[in-house]
Amino acid sequence: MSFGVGSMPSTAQTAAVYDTYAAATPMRRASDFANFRRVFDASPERKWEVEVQKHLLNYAKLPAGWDTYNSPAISWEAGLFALSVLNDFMRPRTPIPQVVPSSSGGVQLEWHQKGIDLELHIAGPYQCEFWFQDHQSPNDQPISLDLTDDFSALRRPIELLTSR
Amino acid sequence: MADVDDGSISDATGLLRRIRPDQIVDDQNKGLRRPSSAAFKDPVLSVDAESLLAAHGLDWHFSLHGYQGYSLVRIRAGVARALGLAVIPRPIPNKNPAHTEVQGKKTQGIANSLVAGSQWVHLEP
Repeated sequence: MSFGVGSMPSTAQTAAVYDTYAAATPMRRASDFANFRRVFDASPERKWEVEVQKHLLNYAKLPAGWDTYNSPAISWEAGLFALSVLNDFMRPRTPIPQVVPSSSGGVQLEWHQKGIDLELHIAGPYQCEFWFQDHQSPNDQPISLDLTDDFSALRRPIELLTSR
Repeated sequence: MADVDDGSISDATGLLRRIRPDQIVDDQNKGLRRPSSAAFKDPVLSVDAESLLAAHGLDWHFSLHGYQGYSLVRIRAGVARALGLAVIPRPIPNKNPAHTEVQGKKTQGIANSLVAGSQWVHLEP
């Protein structure tokens, strides 16, 4: 496998290179690559923190009326709670969510990929709405829930997003 | 002015809503860019009614005038009503004769139904 000059390999390509190399060098034990694997597995985690924080910091500066209508300023508590929820549920290689300011003053985390629609609207701490649809299970109806203290409904969609 | 949907805005009327760039999401499942449901969560959602714009010799360009970088979607009033929302004209004197409110709680299900019923009038590249 080769990469063109000026093009960066994707993480999937990097992992494929690693796996190919590991398979082709039986003299090397898996433990020889432990540090690489640890860093590789950890990097997406750092990526989501960086990406999500960047958006939340921008949204925290928005004044009331930021959507040109009557939207309240974005709740900083909602942003902090979003980070807390993600910290509990994100896994290495879970896709990074899109972070959207809500016209009601909260933030929304959303994924629309791998046949999954997952949204978590966060109005404030423990004031969340959940929306999930798996298009690979077309007989399943979308699930819409208010989440206040039990966030376990997030577990399956996040697992699907991570493993699919 | 009472918060009553008197039906003066017909079901077929388009309701126009500006969308900020950061409220547009990439939907990889559908392979398109579309408004986030978060753009429709306001319980008192401001829009411009196209029938009221037309009555004043205006069209959708009025809704975007002065809002560079914004996109614009249309939702039929009948779509909002079918979701249990009220469509109430609220003209702003000397500023916006077409201003209208779509009132009612927008759960994620309702907000996503509004997304599904919307179409781009103008989408910024």
